[in-house]
Amino acid sequence: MRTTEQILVELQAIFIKEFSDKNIILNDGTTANDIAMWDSLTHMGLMDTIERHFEISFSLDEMISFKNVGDLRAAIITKLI
Amino acid sequence: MNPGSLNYFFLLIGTMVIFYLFKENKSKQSILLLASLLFLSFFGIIPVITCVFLSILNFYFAQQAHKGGYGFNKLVIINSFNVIVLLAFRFVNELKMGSLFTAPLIGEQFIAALGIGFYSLQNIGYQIDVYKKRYFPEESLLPFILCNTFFTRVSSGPILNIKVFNTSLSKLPIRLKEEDFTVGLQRILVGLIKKIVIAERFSYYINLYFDGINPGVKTGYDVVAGSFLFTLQLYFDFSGYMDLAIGSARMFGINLNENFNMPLRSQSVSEWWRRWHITLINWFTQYIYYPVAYRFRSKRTLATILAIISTFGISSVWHGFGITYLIWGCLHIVYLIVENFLKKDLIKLNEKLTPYYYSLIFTPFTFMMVSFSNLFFRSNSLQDAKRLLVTLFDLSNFWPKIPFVTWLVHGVHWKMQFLLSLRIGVIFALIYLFFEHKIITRLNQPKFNVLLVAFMIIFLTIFGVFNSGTRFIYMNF
Repeated sequence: MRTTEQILVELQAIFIKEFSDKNIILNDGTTANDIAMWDSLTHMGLMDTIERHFEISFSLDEMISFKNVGDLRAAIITKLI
Repeated sequence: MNPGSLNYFFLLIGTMVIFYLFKENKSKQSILLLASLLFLSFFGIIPVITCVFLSILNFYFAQQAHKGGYGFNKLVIINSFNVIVLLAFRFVNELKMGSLFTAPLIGEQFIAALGIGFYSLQNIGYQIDVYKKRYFPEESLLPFILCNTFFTRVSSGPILNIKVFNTSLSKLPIRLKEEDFTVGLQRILVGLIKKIVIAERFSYYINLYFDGINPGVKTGYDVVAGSFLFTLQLYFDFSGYMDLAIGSARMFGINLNENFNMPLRSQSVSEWWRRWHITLINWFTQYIYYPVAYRFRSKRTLATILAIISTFGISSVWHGFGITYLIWGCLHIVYLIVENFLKKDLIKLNEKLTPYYYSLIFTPFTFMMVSFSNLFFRSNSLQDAKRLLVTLFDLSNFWPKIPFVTWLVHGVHWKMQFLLSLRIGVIFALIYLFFEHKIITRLNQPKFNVLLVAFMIIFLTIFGVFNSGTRFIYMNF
């Protein structure tokens, strides 16, 4: 069972790889405004990578409702339980 | 009745007086509905019947479908009906009127003013939301019809979310608040200034550039000037209408969504679409872009491309059936796909150049790209667009053949009698754009400033171009 901290670390690794940006540092308050590459054009690809990594599945409404990384992490925890 | 006309203001003021005589919320809603139906009736009985019929149909269909288990088949039936009605009106309109930009006001009134494109999208979105169980169907018919017919925005939007609109309807103010009056009045005045002082001054030239045999076009420079002017005209005209719609609604304590966020400052086309006609692009993003991108998300870049193509393909058809709209949509598809591929490089370039110098290059570049696509958006036919393109790319004939000093002092069309008027319009447009952020902030200040309001009225009276009789451009859609 992953801890919430582990999930954040794994998410950070995914973001860094997905957006080819080693400077990304995530916290629960991080939003798309904080990461230049993260927008509506790249969002679905990012979500797909996260789904595969954690072996979970999000609905469309879930994917577009995440306001920040905190929401995303909470949804992952719920799915993993 | 053209929004911004004298009749419109009689209706607005009359409705306000009666609205604030009543204290009960239901009575206030009924008055707004009556005023909205009266507004629509100025265009004939058909807009009233169509709008009310579609509202009632969508209202009861969602309720019944929800009770009996809202299946996918039911969603397809009702939304096919919404789409067919929308396309039928569009088709009849274009058959009857030809080009949307040159059609006379009288003949196209009933369809143009109907705003069917806007409230049809609202209804389609509503049915999808109820089907997806994002919320329960509306229980009361009156606010539902009012959401579709609300007179300050029925012609051209903004597109409303029925739930959000109904929330504001449930909190209608008993008395006119100073904040609502001040912000509402200021938004109405700035909307009129944008339309009557700036956009109207460009109309004569836009017609010379784009209509008939393009008499204003002699060189490539003219094509560039025409496309830039049209983009400016479209912005000031459409955002002026939005100020009027939002300001008028504010007089009743209703907050409508903003539709523009300084789009001419965009540094990319994707940013342009986050700032321009926001409620429409949000609708397309929510109901077309995301579902397509979600469905094919495992295909990664291909999913993004498919989603962009679907979104702008449908958007171009929504704007009109002509081939020119299709080319306009295709150009934006290409812009967005190229930007998507270059995104990482552009971010690096931004860091290298610093944001200030990056914006100095890419803000005008984005404006140029959008203006180029608008050549097709505004052209009345493919033939016209071709003629403009041939002239634009004839490099031996790009610059006007007049002495440079004459050009510098008098401009290209130095014999045109309205040149001074155009220059005044351009100067005011540039001043507005330069101070846009400050102006918007000031307009939303709730404290009434009699000097500011007096200045705006005097400015409007002195510099306004009245009696031209042209409608707001986006009433066509």
